[in-house]
Amino acid sequence: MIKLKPAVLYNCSTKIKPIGIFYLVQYTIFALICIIINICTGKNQNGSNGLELCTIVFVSITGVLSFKEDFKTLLQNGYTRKYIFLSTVCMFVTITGSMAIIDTVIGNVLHHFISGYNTIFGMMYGYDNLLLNWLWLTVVYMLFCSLFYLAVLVINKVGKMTSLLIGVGLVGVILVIVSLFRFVFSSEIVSNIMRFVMNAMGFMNDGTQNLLFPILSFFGIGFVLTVCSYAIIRRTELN
Amino acid sequence: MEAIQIKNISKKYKDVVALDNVSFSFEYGKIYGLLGRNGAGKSTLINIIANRIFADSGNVLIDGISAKENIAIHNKIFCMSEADLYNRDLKVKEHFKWASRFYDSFDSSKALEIAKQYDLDINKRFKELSEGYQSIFKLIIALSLNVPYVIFDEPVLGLDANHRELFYNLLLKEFEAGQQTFIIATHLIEEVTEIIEEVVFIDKGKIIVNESVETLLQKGYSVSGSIKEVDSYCKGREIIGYDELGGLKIAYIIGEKPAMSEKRNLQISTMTLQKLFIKMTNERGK
Amino acid sequence: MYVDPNIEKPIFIQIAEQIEDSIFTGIFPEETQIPSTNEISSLLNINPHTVLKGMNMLVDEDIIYKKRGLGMFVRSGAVKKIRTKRKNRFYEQYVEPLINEAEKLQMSKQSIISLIERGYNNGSHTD
Repeated sequence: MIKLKPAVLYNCSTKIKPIGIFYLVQYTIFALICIIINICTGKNQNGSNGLELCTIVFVSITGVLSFKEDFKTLLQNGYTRKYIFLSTVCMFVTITGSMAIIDTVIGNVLHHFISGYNTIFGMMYGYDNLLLNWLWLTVVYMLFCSLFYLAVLVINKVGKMTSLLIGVGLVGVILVIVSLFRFVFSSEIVSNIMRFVMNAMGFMNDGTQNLLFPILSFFGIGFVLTVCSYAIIRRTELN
Repeated sequence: MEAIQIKNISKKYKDVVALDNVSFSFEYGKIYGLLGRNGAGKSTLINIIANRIFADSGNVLIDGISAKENIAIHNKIFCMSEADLYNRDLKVKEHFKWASRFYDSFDSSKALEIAKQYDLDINKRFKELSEGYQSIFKLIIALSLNVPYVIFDEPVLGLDANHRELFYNLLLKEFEAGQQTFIIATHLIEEVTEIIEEVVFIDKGKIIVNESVETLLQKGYSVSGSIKEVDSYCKGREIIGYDELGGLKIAYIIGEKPAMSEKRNLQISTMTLQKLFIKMTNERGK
Repeated sequence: MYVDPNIEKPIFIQIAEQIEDSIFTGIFPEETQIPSTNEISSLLNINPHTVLKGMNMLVDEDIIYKKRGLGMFVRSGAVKKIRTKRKNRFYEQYVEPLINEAEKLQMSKQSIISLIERGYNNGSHTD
């Protein structure tokens, strides 16, 4: 791993500025809305919940932007695809992990001080465990990061036209599955599937919650997506 | 010593054959000219050596080891490319800083020194540089790296005469200072004739010449005189091209140059590398 | 010092001739150091191997010699050696082409000889 560290540093360095701008804009707007509501209603209320959604959008964009320019620069500097891939994954972990810390801390602070503000995690699982909150957010961010990274790799590999067809195909598959649920599957199968999904999200049949399940599920999906990305980038040429 | 071995490399783009079963070697410690017309396959070959694209078949060995996806090998070779692979938003001095992180052998003080010689403003962002200065920036990186193999792809693109002269000068200084192999891919043949020691002609995806400049120049000559006499002289010889000027005909011939006084009415002269190249890469005998 | 890529002679021979000429005219006196390969290479933007080849020609002729770790030096007696060499080459370098050209112009042997005599008479050439 002789040359991995500078590559990870480089990948992170190109993202630090956008992250700063992102948080600045997000909290400025959030604060403005709060102030306006305060002035208009005279209540200490807020206008929105779950700011993590914004971060999800942001990390998805990061995933998209983590290929082309960085790939070129690192190739020019003698990096092989394997190292480029590893450095990108390391960068994803660093960025999603850090952003998850920020969002966990700020989200819980906001929840404490502003009545009615909820984080996504809090709404689903409560506010008891900060560590699991952070871990859960990290794997969710990682999932979106790797999903969009894979998407941009696929688009680069097969070209815009083919990607569009793949996209249309995916929409078709989703529509078919939805109609399968409505008309073909028996209610028993549907409820089994629903139960499986609920379990995977950590809501157990006996009404308790198991947070390791969703973390492992998201991690698993993210891992599969990442492996697919590796399979593609190994065959990617400079164009 | 065969430093970079190209073995049976082929590459196709859709229907176009970019490289057709190319095999040859670059030896260690020399300056090579990789000469070819636009679209001859120079950049494709360099991109394959640099691991930027993959060959359809064949292999590139550097110091006897396959170069494909081998990071240890790519620490030893640097390919300055014609295409822009640099982050356009970074400042020149930031690029220098990253180069010294990516490569142990990058000499930052040398880079700053050369930048000064070229009057390059290191506080400018890459995208703010003119085309010439973008080339200069890329040259500085390549010249400040002490790796065994450095490949320049169209190094003097957009440079004025003074800056080109300075580049050749710096290149020779680097060459004298260390045990490096330089490969210059260019279409400006005349300019590099005295710089390079070995020459590789590439044409339509094939290597048509690979030898020392001196040997090559001794291989060809031109004969001029009246059409009739030139034609009769040319019988049975290997002709690579003709030029005609009214009644005067010039034939370009492959073979050992004869003594001057063999035919008094014919003028025999050596060919320049450029002329030889042009005649060899045009349709033969036309 | 300069080289001309457009004339017939290979560059390394041009280099050798120029160094030789500088020795002959006393720019580089005997037993002094001549410029290094690298200096000449940088000055003229020529591959150092080419320059070295030119120098080696002079080493072979025993006009210059290598002092280990110091560089190339002019051999004592080099000027005399160069003079002898040039005298020996005078015929093929100047007389042969002269006769060739004269034949193209259909000039007689006698007219050439008288031209040479005129040359000596016009200038302050003695000897």
